[in-house]
Formats: sequence, C-alpha cells, structure tokens
Amino acid sequence: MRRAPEPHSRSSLLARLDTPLWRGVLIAAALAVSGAFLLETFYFLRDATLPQWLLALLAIAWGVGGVMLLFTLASYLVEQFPATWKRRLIPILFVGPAVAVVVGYLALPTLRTLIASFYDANGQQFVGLANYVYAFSSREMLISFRNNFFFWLTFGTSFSLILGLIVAVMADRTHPVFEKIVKAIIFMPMAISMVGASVIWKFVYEFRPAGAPQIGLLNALVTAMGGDPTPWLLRQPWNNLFLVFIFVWLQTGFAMVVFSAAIKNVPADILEAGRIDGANEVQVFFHITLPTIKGTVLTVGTTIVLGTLKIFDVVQSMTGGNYGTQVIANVQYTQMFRQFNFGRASAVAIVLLLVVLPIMLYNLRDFSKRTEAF
Amino acid sequence: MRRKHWLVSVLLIASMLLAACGSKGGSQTQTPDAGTGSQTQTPSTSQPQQTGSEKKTVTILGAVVGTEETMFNEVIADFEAANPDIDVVYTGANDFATLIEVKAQGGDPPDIAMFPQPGGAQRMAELGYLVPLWPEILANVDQNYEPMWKELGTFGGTPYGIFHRVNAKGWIWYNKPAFEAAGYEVPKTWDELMALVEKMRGTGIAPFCDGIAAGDATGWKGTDWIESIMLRTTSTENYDRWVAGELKFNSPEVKRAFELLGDIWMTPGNVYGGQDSIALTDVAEAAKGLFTNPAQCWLHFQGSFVTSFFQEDVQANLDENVGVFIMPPIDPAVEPGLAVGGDIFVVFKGHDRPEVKKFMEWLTTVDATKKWAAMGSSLFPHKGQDLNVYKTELERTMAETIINAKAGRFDGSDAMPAELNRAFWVGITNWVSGASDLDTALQEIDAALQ
Repeated sequence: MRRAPEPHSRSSLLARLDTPLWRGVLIAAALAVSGAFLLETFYFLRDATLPQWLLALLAIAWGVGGVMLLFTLASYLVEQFPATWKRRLIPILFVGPAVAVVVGYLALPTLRTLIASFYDANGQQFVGLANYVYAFSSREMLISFRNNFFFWLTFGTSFSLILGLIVAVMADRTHPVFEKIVKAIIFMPMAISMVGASVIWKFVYEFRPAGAPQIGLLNALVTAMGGDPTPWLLRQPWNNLFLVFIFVWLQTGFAMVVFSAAIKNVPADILEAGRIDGANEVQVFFHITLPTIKGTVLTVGTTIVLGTLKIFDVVQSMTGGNYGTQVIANVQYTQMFRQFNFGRASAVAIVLLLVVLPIMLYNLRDFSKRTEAF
Repeated sequence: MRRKHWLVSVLLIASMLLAACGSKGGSQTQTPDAGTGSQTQTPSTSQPQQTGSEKKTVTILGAVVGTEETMFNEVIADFEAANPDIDVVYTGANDFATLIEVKAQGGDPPDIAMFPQPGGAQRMAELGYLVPLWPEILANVDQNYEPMWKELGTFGGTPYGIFHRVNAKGWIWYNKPAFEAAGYEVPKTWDELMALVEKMRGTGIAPFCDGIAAGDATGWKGTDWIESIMLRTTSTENYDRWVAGELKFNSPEVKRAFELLGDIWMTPGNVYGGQDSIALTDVAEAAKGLFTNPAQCWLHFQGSFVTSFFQEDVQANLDENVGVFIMPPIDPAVEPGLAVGGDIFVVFKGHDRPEVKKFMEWLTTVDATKKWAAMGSSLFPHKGQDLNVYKTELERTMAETIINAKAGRFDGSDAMPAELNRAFWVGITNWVSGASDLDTALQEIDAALQ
C-alpha cells in the first residue's frame, strides 16, 4: 500500500511531460542552449593560447560536432510536429543551411557590391550614378567592352568550338591509338593554369630590337626568314587576337573532349542509314552528327562564352591591360586592388555580372530543358 | 521505456551544457576593452600578447623585399643590439599597398608602416588611422633634416611621417670607361645634352636605352621623365598645382615637358630598339644596355636605385664602371628642383607604445644611417652624416646632392590623386606605344579627374 503510489507518481510526471508539446519545448531549449554553448566555445577557442595543432583539432571537432549536434536536435524537434507540418518543415531543415550559405556568401555580397557601386572611392559619400557613368563612358571601359565582346567572345568562343569540333571529328575517324595520342596532346594545355600559359606564351611573343638575339619563338622564326622582329603585343588591335589565341589554346582541349564523347554517342544506325541513303560524309556531319550533339555544343559554347567575358588572368599577366588590351575583369581588379576605388570597382563588377547573367540563365534553362534538374 | 530514457538523457545533456556556459560567461567580459583602450595606459594592458616574455615587440610592414629586406633587417639588428629588450619584426610584402589597406580597415594594422608612396600614407592620415609625430621626434626631425623633409611627411598641416632611406630621381647614367674613351663631357645645359645626343647618334650606338614596362604599373618610368623635366621648365608652384590636378595636362607647361621628352624618345635612332622597344622593355632590363657587349646605348635615365639593376660585375666595381650626372637645367630662369622619394614611416593609432616611439626616433638619427649606407645602394638625407661611410664615390656624390637639396618635390605622379596617377601611366604608355597622339593622350589623362 505504501510503496505503490511512489513509482506511479514519478512515472505519471514523466508521462505528463512525455507529450509532443513538452518534448518540443525541451528540445527547443536544448537547441538554444547548445547554440549558446557552441558560440561560447567559439570565443574560448578564438582567444585560447594553445598549440596550433591542438587548436586545429579542437576547431575541427567543434565544427563537425557542432553541426551534428545542432542538426540532430533540430531533426528531433521537427519529429515532434504533427505530420502535415513535419512534411513542410523537413525540406527546410535539409535545404536551409545550404540556402543560408548561399545567401551569406553570395546574395549578401552581391547586394553589398550593388550598394557600394553608388558610393565614392572610400564608400563614404553617395555619388549616385557617377560610377556607372565611368563604367559606360570611360575610354578604358569602352576599350574593354570592344575587346570582351568582339575579340574575346566572338573569336575566343568560335575558334575554341570549331577547332575542338574539327579535332574531335577527325580523331574519331583515325586509328584508336593515334586518336588517344592526338587527344592527349590537345587536352594537355587544360592542365596548365592561365597564368602558367601566359608565362609560356610570353616567350613566344617576346620582342627584342632588330640585331639583338631573338629569344621569342615567333620573332626568331620571323628573323630567320629574313623579316624584321615585330612587337606582337604592341600592334593594335591585333595584339588582342594574340592574347585570345592563348585562351583558345587552353580551351580547345576542353571542347574537344566533350564533343568527342558526344560524337561517339551518335547512334551508329542513323549514321549508317544516312550513308545508305547516299549522303556523303559532309552531309552526314551537318545533317546527322551536328544536330544530334547540338545540346552539347550549346552547353560547351555558353561555358566558354562565360570564360571569355570573365577573362582576366591572361590579360593581367601578359600586358597588364596596356596597349589597348584592357578587359572588364581587369578594370575591376585594377580599380579595386591598385586604385582602391571601391565605388568604381563595384560598379564594374555589377556591369560584369549583368553581362554574364543572361548567358548563365540561358545555360541553366537549356540544361533544365534536357535534364529537368531545375 | 526507451523514449523515457531518451528524454532523461536530453535533459541531462542540456543541464550539463548550461553549467558549462555559466562558468565560461564570466571570463569573457574582460577582453573587449583591449582594442578601444587609450594609448596612454601601461604597456602591459595595451599589448596582451606579450605575456610570458619580457621582450617588447614592434611590428613593421613595408614593401621592401629581397636583398633590401635583408639589409633593413641588419639595420634593425643594430637597434636591437642597443635595445636588448625590444624585438623589431619587419615583414616585407610585394602586395604591400593592398595588404596595408586590408589590415588597417580590418583593425589589424602593424605598429609601423613604410609607405613607398606618399598617397597611401596621406590616405591613412585622412582616414584618421595614424598618430601625428610627437614632440621628441619633431625635435629630431628639425635638427637632422632640411625642412623640406618635414614638409614632405606632412599631410593636411599635421606631420605624420619621417624618412630614413631616400632616393632621388633625375639622374643620367653612363658607362664611365666608354664615355671617357669617346672623349665626351658631362653636359651642363639641356642644349649641351641635345648636342651630345646628336653626336652619339652618329656612332652607330643609340644615345639612350629606355623601357617603361612594369606589368599593370607600366608607364611610371615615363612619368619620372616628365617630372624631372617639369622641375626644370616651370615654377615649383606650377609643379604643385599640376600634382594637385589643378594645372591640366593639356596646358602649355605640361605639354612642353612631353614635347621635350618626345625629342629624346621619338627622334629615330635616339633610343635602342626604337619607340616600340620603350613600351615593351622592362624598366630594370633597360638599364643593362649600358654595359652589354656590344653596348646598346650611351646613356640611361633613372633614379638613384638604378645601380641594383646593373649587371653583377658592374655592381662589383661601381666607381670604375659607372658615371652619373643630374639632368641639366633646361630653362635658365628656372632653379632646378630635386625629385625625391623614399619610404615614409608612420605609426598607427593606438600603437604608439614607448618601444615603437623609440624605434621611430632612432630612425631619425645619423646613427641609424651608418649600417645601411655602408652596405651600399642606399642614400640618406640626415644632416651631419660622415660621407666616408658610403662605399663609392658615386653614392657620395648623390648623397651630397640629396643632403644639401633645399627644394625638393615628391615624385609627382605618386603624389597625384590615384585616378590621375594611373591615367598618367596609361596615357604616357598610349602615347609612346602609338595608341594615342600627344594631344589625345593629354586629354585622356585630364579626363580622369572629371
């Protein structure tokens, strides 16, 4: 009689607490407490004077453990909700962190850049559209627009695509061993960084006055054939094409490899049907192969177009934007890191973003049409 | 049953975490005032990281790298030997200009920064990041330098910066044995220089070697030419107005300077490799032409730092190999001014601890010049130096010119508003590379300030 009520009352207390509502409240409290705890340990670790390696280990444990702890508690919390809410909340739980990262590292900086583009060099005085006037009317930017759109986009993209396509088609028809060798050689520049390629090509275009030993490959050839050495990087507007060629040298391999894979996927029976119907090889290529790999060509094309519009490394390391070879991204860099004109740099960055955005959207839309990923 | 077990464990963890937080919270409140605390406090509160060692640390950030950095570290070692309780740590960064901006704005500046261009220091002073010079160091500056050096470190009426190692521009260098063997004489006037250039053109060796390529700083060498010519063709008032952006580039005064440079640069046969070569040749590379075999040229225009560009065997015996004269006066009515430069040492706000001040004050004394002067390729403006410390006659000549210079102007392009400076570089590059004719180039430079 005496002993019976005690376990009963304890279990009833727990039982009363063991409702979804109470559990939710408790877990939410635990969530808040662990958040606060993680914040405190962050400050502790930041100010701690521990050996570097120990600090690194603790920081990793803090990061990984913290994320696991928060995520586990949050998912318990969601579990306590009624089924309809649970269905609504679970996706947020999974996508939320990714969205937060994108907002924090992409959307907010973009917004911040947009705001900075309306302020002066130090970001202190509102100057309205002055930076955009610069971005659309200064000689530097006008030259950049010409170079980016005419030389880089037009020639850079078309040369990369056409050369890549030609090599892919031709290599496909040769002996497999030969095909592998050719593709390996053409693909090799892809392994070189743009700056590395610029170093190589600087030696190709190097100019020494007539009479001096020519250490540049091109001028050595020219003088060997009795010509006068030419300052390739100085001759406007052709010097832009010489820079574009470096980019083409790097990108052709990329286009070729993707095209080659696509060409090998063109159904053999269709090709054969075409040939039986009397089409010659050129007709087969233009009426069967090309239409079949059209999607691939568009994807590769837009990727390269994006590359040409954002081109920076080659110009910065070859000419520094001098001699009429300036491009938009290099103006942005120069304004930001050489001139410290945050306003102008931001305005140029926004202009570059606006230029690139439509192509990116087209790329995504085109991609989603074929794969329904978006 | 399982569920209850789970609930208990959650409660347990929560209470443990709460307990852990509670004990941490207290210790956190002390730290924040370290950053905002006033500078007059004792060193122990304003510099928390020195606990555990008695040495006080002074940090310096500058653009001096490579062999010059090694030399500067030896100068620092001299100071540390006299002040064993102070550890001076110098960091040299190629991207100094970028780094110092980031660090200052991020609230993490060094104690002392060495600005290679006045523009950066001026900007920091205007943004309120710097400590004005204090009475003790001002007394040193007044005693050990000509007044022009104090003026050069003054921004907005307040002196902030001091000079240690400096350089001067406007020198014309030549290969001494070849120059003397040919029987040439150092020209005393611009007309004599032009006559000499014409004589040299007839020898089949170009009178000048020149190159202005320097990555995205291409053009600065050309601006040096214009500045030295301006200091000889127009008043210093006009020079100052020009640097401030008030005297336009397409004014007759500035255009005349460009035309005089054009006489040298664009007369066929005057420059090795011609005009194309000027735009494409690296600044440091051009200097070597004086001593190649066969020689490429007779003369080379460059600042006092050029000796480090020369071939190693030339550097080994500068006095025998190298001769120098300053660009001769152009207009008889104009008293020539000296174009100077040098790292400006400034102290960041909140960092003027006694040891930092002590090091800065030391830099303004003659004692701080001896070590580096003896190591070579460095000149100092300090009055009362023993010129015999310098290794070469060449340096003695230049140091004497610098110490005695009564009027000096900064490298004008460095002191110009940033947009104008860049436009100047780009404009002169466009002009010499043939992308713009002179009038267009000058208008485009002026357009930078609109």
